[in-house]
Amino acid sequence: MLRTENKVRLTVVLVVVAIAVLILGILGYDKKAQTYTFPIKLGLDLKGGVYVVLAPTPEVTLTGEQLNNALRETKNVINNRVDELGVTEPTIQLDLENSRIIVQIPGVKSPDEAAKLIGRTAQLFFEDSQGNVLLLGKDVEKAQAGPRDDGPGAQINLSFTPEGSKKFAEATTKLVHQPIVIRLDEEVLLNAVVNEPITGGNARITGLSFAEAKEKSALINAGALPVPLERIASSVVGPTLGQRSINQSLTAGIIGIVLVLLFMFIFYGVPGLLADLALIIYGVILLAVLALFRATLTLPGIAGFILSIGMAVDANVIIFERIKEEIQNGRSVRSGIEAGFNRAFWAIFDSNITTLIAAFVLLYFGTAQVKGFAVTLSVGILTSIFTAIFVTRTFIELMADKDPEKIGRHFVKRG
Amino acid sequence: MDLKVIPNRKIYLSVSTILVVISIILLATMGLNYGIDYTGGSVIQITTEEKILPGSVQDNVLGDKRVADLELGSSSVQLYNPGNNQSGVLIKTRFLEDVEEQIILDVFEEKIGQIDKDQLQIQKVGPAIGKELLRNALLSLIIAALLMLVYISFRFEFKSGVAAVLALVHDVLIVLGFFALTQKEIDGPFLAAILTLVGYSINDTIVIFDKIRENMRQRRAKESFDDVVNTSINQSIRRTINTSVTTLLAILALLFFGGESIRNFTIAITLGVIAGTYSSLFVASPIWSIWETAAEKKAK
Repeated sequence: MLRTENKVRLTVVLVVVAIAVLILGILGYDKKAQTYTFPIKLGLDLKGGVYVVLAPTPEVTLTGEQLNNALRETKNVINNRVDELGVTEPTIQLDLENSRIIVQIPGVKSPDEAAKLIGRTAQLFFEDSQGNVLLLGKDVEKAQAGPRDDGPGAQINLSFTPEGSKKFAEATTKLVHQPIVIRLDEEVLLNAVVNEPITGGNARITGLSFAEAKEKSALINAGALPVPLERIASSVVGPTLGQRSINQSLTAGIIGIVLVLLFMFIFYGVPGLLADLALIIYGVILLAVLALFRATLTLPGIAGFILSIGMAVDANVIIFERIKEEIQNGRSVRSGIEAGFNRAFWAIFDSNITTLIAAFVLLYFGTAQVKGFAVTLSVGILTSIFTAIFVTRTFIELMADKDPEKIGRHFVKRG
Repeated sequence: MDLKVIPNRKIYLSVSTILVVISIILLATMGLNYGIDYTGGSVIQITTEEKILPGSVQDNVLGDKRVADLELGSSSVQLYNPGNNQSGVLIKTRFLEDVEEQIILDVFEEKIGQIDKDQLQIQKVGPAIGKELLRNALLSLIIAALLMLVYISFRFEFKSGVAAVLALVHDVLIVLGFFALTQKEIDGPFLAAILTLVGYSINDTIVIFDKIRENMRQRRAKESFDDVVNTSINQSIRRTINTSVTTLLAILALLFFGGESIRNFTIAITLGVIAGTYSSLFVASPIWSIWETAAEKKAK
């Protein structure tokens, strides 16, 4: 006779598994390619790509809000550069607390070149039509977008440093009615025609929409007031290298999981098999949760996943040993199972909390790669409490409902 | 099973003390071999179709005038086998500027052979970031240990919390001692390994402490605390060993098949799990029993 209580439990387990599988199915479906892919985002160390941390060079004297604004502008410039690479999932973070810009570009084709491109400090040039350099970024004091003085539309107000003013006056005197090109590295930002000699150190560029004026002036400022950046850390991983890591950890994972499953079966018989089933459910749920949280799987993260498989069955070992003990002490199979689960609960709870403490500390202090590990570990611990206690219990109680003596023998025989 | 852990605790604790002292001496004399994550520097990992002879990278690449002019100081070159009939080399240097890095890559292509760009890996860490990481690593270890002390004191009692944390320090020191002895590199994920084993080692200890806590409730009048602890250890030994075995099976698979890049990580966890299992049985409980027995005598 199956007890209603246990039927309800089984339904809960099946629903949870169904939801997990559904999540993996939906998130793994690539609409564009109409195929299924692995539903979890892979980290740079697995997929290949670039990770760059940029910080202002020591010469930068800006502080406080000025520095923050300059960094925000710099981030925009980097955004544009990364866009030019045409990659799918770049992340560019601004860490104002530490004055850093962190760029991550997975799956880029030539990661080394990308890393160099990102870190390069933009240089601003003013040139005549023959390509002779008239002024450099350092000559510009400021560029600011504003409404046009004499009509609709917007304009960029340029102000020059004293030295820049002199140079600009000289250039504009020579180049009346001729174009001046403003270039950021190779990219032409603006092409303006000189109307008259400008000697006052202030110029305006008209004929722009407001959005354009704002964007270009930001770019001029970034070139003119460049927060010169340096790469303080970077990691460049070639695409095939990542693939090899995936293959290796996959092999290790399969071997490790099979060994753990075998161990449980050999040592604990049918209850061990039930724990194995719960362990497989554990794996499915863990993957679904990671996919749902959009977690990034790194190499240490995979290691954490495999490790957590070994740790997840620990709870079952503790419970099974406990049940054996209870039955040996003269309890019936039913009450032995019940007491075993109940009494093992606090040992499992306490021990998992301490591992969670370690994982949370890692989450707070670890590097990006290590954080991936900590996330896997934390989610794994929480999931394993559910599968090892609730799922395994459901299976074992259902077996006990059918034939208590049969399942009981497994707990007594091997001891 | 009938292990006389508590009656023989002096032996076990002496063994542990000796191991810990040796580890501290090794740490003090040989020190740890920190990777660039902590010291700052560049590591270039190159794969090529050409066969690389031992010494040829030192002589032909680092020895080349253009590279020698960069004044790299002490650099290290390590050959490895990436499979597929290719050769692999790790060049570890001080922090390189982009231009300097390019010079090395160019000279390598000229003198040794074409670089497989798809397998090129370059890691650079500035010295400032490295220091920050080391500080964070130490801080996180201390914070984790303190939090565990608080949690165990709250769930059990203060004495057991201290005993568990001492066992933890024992495990961490032995693992660090091993890394000092072998001069294996301490890389970024190493911190993750140490903190995991910190969490794991406490796991085992708690399972035994839980048994002690339970047996104390049914303690008979003439039974000493030492007896209760010894019984509890014997009652828990199977589960302690079996839980460690399942974890070891998973971690050993990683150690043997998981590849080079996480090898040090898995070595640390493997050692930690072994040390942690030992210390749960033979260090944590004996310390608690010595302290508790002394306290009980005093109370009388």
